[in-house]
Amino acid sequence: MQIDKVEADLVRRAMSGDRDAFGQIMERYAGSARRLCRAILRDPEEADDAAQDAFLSAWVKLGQYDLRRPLGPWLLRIVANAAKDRRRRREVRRTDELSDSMPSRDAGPDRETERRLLEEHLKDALDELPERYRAAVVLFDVEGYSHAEIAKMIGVPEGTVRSDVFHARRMLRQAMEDWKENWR
Amino acid sequence: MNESQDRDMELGAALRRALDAGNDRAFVARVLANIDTAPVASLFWDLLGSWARRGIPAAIMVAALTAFLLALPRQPAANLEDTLVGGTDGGATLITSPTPPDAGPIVNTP
Repeated sequence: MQIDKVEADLVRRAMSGDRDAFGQIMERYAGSARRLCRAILRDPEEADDAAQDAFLSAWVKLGQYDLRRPLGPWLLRIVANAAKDRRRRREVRRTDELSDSMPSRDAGPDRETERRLLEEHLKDALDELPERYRAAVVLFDVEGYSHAEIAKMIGVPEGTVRSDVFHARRMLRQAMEDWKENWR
Repeated sequence: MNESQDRDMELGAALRRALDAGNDRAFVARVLANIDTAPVASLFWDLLGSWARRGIPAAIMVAALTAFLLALPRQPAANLEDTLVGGTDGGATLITSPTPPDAGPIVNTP
């Protein structure tokens, strides 16, 4: 990933204590950080707490960041570690994915309902994967990082990341196909 | 090879929708509101953690090396006299060796 000059300027300002600049950095990465934490922790509230821990930690560690390197991988490594720390410290509460707010199949097979049900099913399938597979497939296929960057973020060899993405995709694809067959 | 060509765009988009929390601005505001509460403790533990990560393996290596050096047997230097008088093989080395022993130290002794 290329180094973004606007982003580098924001980081310099944040390093000198500019909170607005840090706020703008967070706005750029909040989506990725929260999605990664959700993938690792599976609990939305726990995930947001972990993402917050990570950003607060990044604020403190900004002085250690090397401006010649892209910010995203550095930041998301802190996010991944925060999520894993939180998972180790607390029991992850499994939430009932089929909540009352979810539309029932009787609501009619319109496209929006179908899309939402597929997302819920995909989330369930993601929950079934090992933690490392979840992080790898989300960082690669959703956030667009390279295998090498992901390897550094989650602390495993690059070949392991490739293998994890491959297996995660195969399982998720299978789950999607099964769901489509049952739905139609 | 360009890795972006390897991406599963359909699966990626579906996962993004499934994992999106929404309202990132409210989240950012919440973090900014807490920015004064965590840093000092966080810095302390981070610093301690970084020392421990380097210090513990180094201490283990030093302890292992010390134990290894202390456990080494102290062997005195062998000479011809020891071999003839106190050797464990009773002179077998002299008889079976293809080369004659060096008698220099005995012959040259005043």
